[in-house]
Amino acid sequence: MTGRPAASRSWGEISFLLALTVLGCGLAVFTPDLIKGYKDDQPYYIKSAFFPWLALALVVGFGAWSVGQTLRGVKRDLSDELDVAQTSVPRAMGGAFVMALYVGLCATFGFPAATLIGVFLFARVSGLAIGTCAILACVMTLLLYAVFVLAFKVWFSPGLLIKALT
Amino acid sequence: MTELLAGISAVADLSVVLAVVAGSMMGIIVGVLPGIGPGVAIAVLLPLTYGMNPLAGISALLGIYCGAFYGGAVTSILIRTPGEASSIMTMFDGYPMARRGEAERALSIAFMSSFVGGMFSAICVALMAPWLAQFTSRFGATEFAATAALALLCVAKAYKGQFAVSMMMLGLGLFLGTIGIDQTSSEHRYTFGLTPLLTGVPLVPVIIGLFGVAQAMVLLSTPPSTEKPEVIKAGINFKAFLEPFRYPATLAKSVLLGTGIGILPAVGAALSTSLAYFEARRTSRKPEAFGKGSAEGIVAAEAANNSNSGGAMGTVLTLGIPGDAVTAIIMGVFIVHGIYPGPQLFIEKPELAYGIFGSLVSINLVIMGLLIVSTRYLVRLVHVQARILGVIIFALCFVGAYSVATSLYGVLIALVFGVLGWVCAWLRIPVIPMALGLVMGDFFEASLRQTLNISNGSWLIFLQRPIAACIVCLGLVIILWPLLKKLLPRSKQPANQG
Repeated sequence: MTGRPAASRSWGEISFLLALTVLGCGLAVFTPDLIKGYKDDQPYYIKSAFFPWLALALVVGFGAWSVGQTLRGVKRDLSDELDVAQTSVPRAMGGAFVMALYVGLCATFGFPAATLIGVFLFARVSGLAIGTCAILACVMTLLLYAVFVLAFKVWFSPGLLIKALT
Repeated sequence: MTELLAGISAVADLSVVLAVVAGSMMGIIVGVLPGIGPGVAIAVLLPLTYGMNPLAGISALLGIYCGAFYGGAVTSILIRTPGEASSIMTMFDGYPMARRGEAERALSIAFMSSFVGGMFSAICVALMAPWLAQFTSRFGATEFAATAALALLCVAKAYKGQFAVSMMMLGLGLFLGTIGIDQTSSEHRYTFGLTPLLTGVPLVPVIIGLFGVAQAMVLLSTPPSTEKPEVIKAGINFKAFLEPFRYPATLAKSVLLGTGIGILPAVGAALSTSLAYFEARRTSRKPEAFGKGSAEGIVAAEAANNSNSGGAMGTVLTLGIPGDAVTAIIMGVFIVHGIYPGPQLFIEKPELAYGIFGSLVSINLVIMGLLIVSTRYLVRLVHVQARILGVIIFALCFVGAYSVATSLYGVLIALVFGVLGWVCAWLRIPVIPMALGLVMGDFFEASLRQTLNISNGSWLIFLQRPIAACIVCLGLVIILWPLLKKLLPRSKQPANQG
């Protein structure tokens, strides 16, 4: 967890840190309104807003510190939890988009059909050949269905379309 | 002693035995597969344990956790690609040894050293845990609040040069943990009128998102390697199995370092392996051989690496505090099964607490047996394409997040946190502090509010109770350490350091 060598910050990092800090600030200010049934006439440690305020103080305080460090050009070690250096952003985003689509497909067509299409699309987004995608989709659908639906008895809705047709 | 025996007999249950074997096998495979760590595997496979009894479910995940330590050595030694930061030191000597045509010897030394480390730490912590649990049973809300704060501080401090960002992410995790119905006042916090949010942000889909979906996005978008994979032939060399015992001092020092560091929250296996490796080199009769295929180097790194697991589980079980991402996920499993780790666990469910240590011992035995029969086949897995793994993990994340509450809401949560995890990885901002904040948020809040209730809102209570005061002082030393280091007179540096 010692991180990679320090590098200069991008505007993306500054924007992200700033957005979190501002969001934290906004949530802290509006906390009494965001708690349903909030009682203000209590000692501070009994109020349900006490701990969220404490957490948000960390977000705002250390967020502002990080933004300040960035703007002053202070270099910091970088996290090495996940290495994204050689990855393709469109493909990664494509994967997330397919997962969102998979949710919609599952709600509409049911689990087996959605998995077949979803896995095929995941594989296509990754750049695999159509034949490999088709084989992977069939194998994964069969395996997931056998393990989760048949063995572990996980219940999936048949899907809105199937319901409507039957 | 009776409890210890009850724990051991609990492991003999068929469901636990099957879980140990399946988890260990899966862990070894995960360790061998490039790009997947135990955290991802545990996050993705966690829902499979819902139907199991608690000990079987936890044993399966511990099998993955420990198996990955063993399997990680394979990629480090054969293809110079450590799956985890803690396997880097093994690579320094394992890979040169494999290049000399002694891959089987390197693997056998690594496996046996890991085995000794794993067994020692599990037995050692099992014997120490009752004492530690007895000590922590004297803890009240004040001490628990102070300990939780100290553990979270250690997590943020573990990210050198990233303290501010880590604290911010920790705060975010603690805040996310407050969403839902407040257990004290029953008021609805930040639910925006949405029914699913009444029960809070679901932990398991968040973990699946941060560790599984984010990793799948990375693997899916990794371009295929242009290098032609080298055909590897490697198995087990039984003669080399005994080689670690030719370095008893190195073996002993490394397992002690690994177990000790494993107990400390947030420090992690990477530090223990590097400390053990450099200590072994410093005291070795042949320090010049280190980095060129030294058996002693592999012994030091692997023994320290695998002895972390027992130490880390000791902290989770006796204090209820996870030390890293993987133990945080395992703690999430406890909570999912309605079990709250801590000193009370040893009083209320001793068969489970000791059963976990019993299963840790049996996991190491099972892994060793599996490695002996399967290593020559497993090495072929090191060349599986990252893109295919990405596709498989995506599909498993979908089903895993859905299974939590048989609802697509869980999948959407996993997707949101997956994208957040990937964005953070892109911006090189750590997400583990956020996950730990979310896991420990409830416990920290409950202890803190209870403490302040007792003291009528006075924070001085943390200095009035001796154990809490010691913990607070330790926290202050950690925070002020950079300043203290500058003020302390510098000792002479040895001329031949490094």
